[in-house]
Amino acid sequence: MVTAPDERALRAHLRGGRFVAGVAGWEWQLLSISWPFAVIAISAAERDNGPKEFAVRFELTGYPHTAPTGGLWDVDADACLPPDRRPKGERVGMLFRTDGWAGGASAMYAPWDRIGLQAHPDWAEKYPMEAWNPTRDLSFILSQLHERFNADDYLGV
Amino acid sequence: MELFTHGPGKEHPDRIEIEETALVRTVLVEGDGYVWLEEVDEELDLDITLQAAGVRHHHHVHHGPCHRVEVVVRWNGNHEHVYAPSATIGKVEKWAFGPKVANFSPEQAAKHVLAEPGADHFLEVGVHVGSLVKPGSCTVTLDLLPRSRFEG
Repeated sequence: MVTAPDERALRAHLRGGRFVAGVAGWEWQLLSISWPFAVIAISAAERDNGPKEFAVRFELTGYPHTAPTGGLWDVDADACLPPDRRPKGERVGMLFRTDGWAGGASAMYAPWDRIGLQAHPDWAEKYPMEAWNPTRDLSFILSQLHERFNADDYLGV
Repeated sequence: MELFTHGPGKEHPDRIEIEETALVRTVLVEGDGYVWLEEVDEELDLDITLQAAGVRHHHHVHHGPCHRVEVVVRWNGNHEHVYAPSATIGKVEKWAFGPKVANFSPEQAAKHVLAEPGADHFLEVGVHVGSLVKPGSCTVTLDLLPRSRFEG
């Protein structure tokens, strides 16, 4: 069976130094790939009421030319993570909004997310340091998430 | 064992498979001069084995031509500090966000980040300062910037 270019590109990035170094450093780990979806767990700082990691399910059609989209995932239930288990904090709470925005529970409110970009066409120009472009790889998003899950303003759930 | 190798011109590491009995100089790329373990100030002896040098599986090592890197952080003027090339951006942030430069509270520090002037991305904490040098230079200039707050 021939693997499509987008899946080949992702798998190549997952074999690269940046991703593997993150795995070795306990920053993230690949849980599953069932194309076009990949589920990756990202470690979180210890908080009294917080988990040791959050899983994100990414939809990766057209990767890397098309931005990924992804949302918090309940691996056991195989469904979006319910609101009462989503991370809280000034920056991470806005990233995973629960107030009925267009992306809902399955996308991130961020310029690296396909749905975030579609809902805000000016974001690519307004936030060039974080907007997705085809030179990025999935580890770019993972490092953004890991930073937020481990920052002082992350409050657990 | 597998190592993550960092060097000039590339922010993110390569993976290499190498025997622990190989000499440290095996990590050098043509034209390089020195090898360091991540966050260790003194370079490694090139003519001992990786095992003898204390290099272990999944360690991060840096190879490069600079003995030291001068980092200039631009924040209300220029602030200079000298580092080993294997020092990470995380280490530079601790100094830049601290009392000698920006004197941020923890809340302020969480909202700021370093970037190369004119870059299209902020620097991740694991990047080595030696990876940012340009050919013929051992100085790196960084801007201290606020993180974006996504609104719309």
